[in-house]
Amino acid sequence: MIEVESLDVVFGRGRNAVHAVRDVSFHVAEGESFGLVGESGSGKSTVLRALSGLNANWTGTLRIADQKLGRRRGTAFFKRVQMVFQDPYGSLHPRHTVDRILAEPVSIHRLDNGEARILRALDEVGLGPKFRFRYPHQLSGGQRQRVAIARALILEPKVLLLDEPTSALDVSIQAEVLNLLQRIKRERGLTYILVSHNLAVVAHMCARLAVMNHGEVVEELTAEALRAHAPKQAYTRQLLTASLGYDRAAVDRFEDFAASA
Amino acid sequence: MSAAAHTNGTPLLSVEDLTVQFPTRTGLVEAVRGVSFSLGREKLGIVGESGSGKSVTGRAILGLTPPPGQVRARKIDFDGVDLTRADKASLRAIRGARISMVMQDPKFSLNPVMRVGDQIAEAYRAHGREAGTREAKTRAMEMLEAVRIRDPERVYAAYPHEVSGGMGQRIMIAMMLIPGPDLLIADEPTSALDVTVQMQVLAILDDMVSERGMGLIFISHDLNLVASFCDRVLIMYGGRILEVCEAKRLHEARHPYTRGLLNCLPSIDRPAAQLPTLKRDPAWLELGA
Repeated sequence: MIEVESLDVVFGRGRNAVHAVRDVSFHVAEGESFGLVGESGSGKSTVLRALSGLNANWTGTLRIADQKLGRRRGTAFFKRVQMVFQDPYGSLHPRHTVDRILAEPVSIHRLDNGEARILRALDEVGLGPKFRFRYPHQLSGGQRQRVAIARALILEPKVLLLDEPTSALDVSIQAEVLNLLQRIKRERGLTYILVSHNLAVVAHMCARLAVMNHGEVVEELTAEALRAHAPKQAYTRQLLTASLGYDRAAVDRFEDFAASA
Repeated sequence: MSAAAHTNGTPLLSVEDLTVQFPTRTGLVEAVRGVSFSLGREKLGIVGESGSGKSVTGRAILGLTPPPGQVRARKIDFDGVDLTRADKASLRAIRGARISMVMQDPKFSLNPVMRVGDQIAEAYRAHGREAGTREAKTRAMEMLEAVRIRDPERVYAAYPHEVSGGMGQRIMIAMMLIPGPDLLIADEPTSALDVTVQMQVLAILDDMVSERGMGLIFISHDLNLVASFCDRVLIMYGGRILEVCEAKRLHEARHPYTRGLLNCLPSIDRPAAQLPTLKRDPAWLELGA
């Protein structure tokens, strides 16, 4: 479904050039959830933004459903691929009602039956019609993230690109949103790419994941290998140790993994 | 709630019946409702979701509740001084010098137009040390080394925008620790950091507690982290303390809220088709521990 081959992203030029993504390749099958894990600055979100068309300065080959992607994406692309962002406070227009937020993609794509689509999308994310005419500030963080998911789903996409969808939420709300994403994926046969710094969230959602550091994929592994504490690379092992909780003795063994030249 | 075990003798801090209220257009909001606990020279975790009152509790101890908030307490006793009744001069002698606080985001806590080393040296001189500039600088350098900054010379001369988030938080911690406080209140000090850096920063705090006998109040939303890092944990919900546990035995917690929070965390080791969600009981807001 999704193929990324030799993806490079460089910001700036000359001496100020920052090589944010270096030669990243991975494949995601239809109906699969694929995780991208890494610390801040590892390039994981940049890969997602190149895929979603938010970033034009990439080189390499990107394919979705066997179609090669160009720099600019048409409406047909966005009908198929939608994105959910980290911050539900920043990704919804503060002066638009939920109704208007959901109606906008429907009218851009000239879809019929807007009324029914909006009600169905609200229902599907567990909000219901009483939220339809509220403004974002009248919603909690979890409810806003549900609206953002509804906005992505209203076009009936095949691929959802999720950038830290639950890291701004309390853990009890995170559980509800993750369950919602799992259910929608099952019901609609969607393909997900989930970017997160949280290994536990990725291991829960995805069967396969890639670990990134300094713009490179350090290692691709299955969630099972992670559960068995059997990553091959030292970097992944250290990330796993740190994710399992505080251990004074382990901290002294931490190394710095610098970028390879 | 009776204050549980301390590592030695009299508590360093004891808070009795703390209430913090904020008047709003729709009436009084009680952010903290009758919280009592005490702390020895140990690592005490305060855990809760957003809006549980954990940060408001931490700020109220230091008298940092923003107006128009009102703080009431039977007493907040710090080493024999009741902070609710102390005059401003004696509060000044305690705040910063004997109790200090680290906030979540170093970007907003550091002065953007002053070299970070000078800020640390200033903290040393401001809190009752009769020290010259040279001595303050030497002490600031030592402190930067103590928080494991590898190149203290360079970092001393850097401005806050020139350092990373993890480095910024270490600088904040250096600044808060240089007066040698007896109590450090850390409000989500590592939430904005990457996991490995987070663990390194926690190790610095841990060493300060074990080597210098400092007391630490560690405010966090992360149950697993607190369970592995702290000695004791208070679980807050709706402005009250629901439960107090030994951190090592947090996983045996009794209260349905604590159990619910623990269960809804995804785990690397246990795969689950679906995460159990938390069913909130309105009675939790009424009872408290």
